[in-house]
Amino acid sequence: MKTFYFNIQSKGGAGKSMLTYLQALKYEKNEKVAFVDLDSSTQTSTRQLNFLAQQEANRLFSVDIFDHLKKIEREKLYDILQAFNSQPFDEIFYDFGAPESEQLPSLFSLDFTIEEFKEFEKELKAKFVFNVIMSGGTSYASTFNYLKNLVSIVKGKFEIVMYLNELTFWNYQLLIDELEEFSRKAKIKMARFGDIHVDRNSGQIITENIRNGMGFSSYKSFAAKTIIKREIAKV
Amino acid sequence: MKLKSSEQKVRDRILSDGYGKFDLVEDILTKEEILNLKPRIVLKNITERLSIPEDKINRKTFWSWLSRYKDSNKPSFHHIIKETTVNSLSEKANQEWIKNFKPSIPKVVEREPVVIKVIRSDANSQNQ
Repeated sequence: MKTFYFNIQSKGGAGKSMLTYLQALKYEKNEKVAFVDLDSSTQTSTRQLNFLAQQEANRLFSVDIFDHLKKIEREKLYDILQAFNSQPFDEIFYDFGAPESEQLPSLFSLDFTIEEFKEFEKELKAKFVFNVIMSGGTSYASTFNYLKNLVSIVKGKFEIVMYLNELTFWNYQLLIDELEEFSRKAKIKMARFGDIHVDRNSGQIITENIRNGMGFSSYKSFAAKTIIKREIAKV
Repeated sequence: MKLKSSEQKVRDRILSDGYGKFDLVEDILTKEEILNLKPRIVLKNITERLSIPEDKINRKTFWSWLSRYKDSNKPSFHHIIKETTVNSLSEKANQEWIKNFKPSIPKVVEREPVVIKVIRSDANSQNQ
């Protein structure tokens, strides 16, 4: 059974592409795993996952799922998932951009029903997982509202994993406690990523490597390599 | 399952014998959900969220309420007509503009193909 992971959050800058980068690094050598950049506005993953584009096998793809009115065209999403379902990958990660993520809940609640999307999952004999990226500080309220809305629409029919971008939760322990409580009550999983101190030398190396789309072999500094290994183990 | 006090209030009202059993449903479901989801899904959401056994809700009462709710939340057509009339009478310039306004011919909607691009760094992107 194939697993499709949707990395989503309507708030820009929450860390979607960073999470996708860490996931890609984790599966750098695994040709059964593919990555799809659905973020038509920034195409960050297309740049940051350049190390996959250098491989012999085709593992990095980009698709624009907006129609001419700049709305997600539901049939396109179906077509894309169907197209990848016939490809020889076991796991496929989709990096949604902020605008694409914003439209996704409406797709299940207005345009379609979540029950119909579940039927589609069954037809593909696949498993869909929603990875919702959570950001702290001033972005907390909007990222939380997005998660809450998604949870109420999904109604337990799909697995949701809440990914806390730790970098943005420093000094906000109360918010982490609140999210832990929410994850227990809503019965969704919670994971963390992004504990990278950007003010340190290791953090700067990692940031630079992410920006330039470098793979694991580019991490020469012991500290940076150790931290990135730790991060990979979390996702 | 322990309910919040606001949810408990809604639950008590639904299970009460009085009128307006569903008046507080908006406290747990959004207007958008009530108006757009299928009636049985709305009912399921209410019963699940408030831990009410489905047989405790009289379906006839629920359907009547939902139908009234949808009626009362429809956009008021008469009101729109009235507003348009007032505006067009008071603004002669608008009349002129409306007279000269030519609608564009809608383009035939063509199905846009899904293009999946393979990203490669050693060559130009190729379409699949």
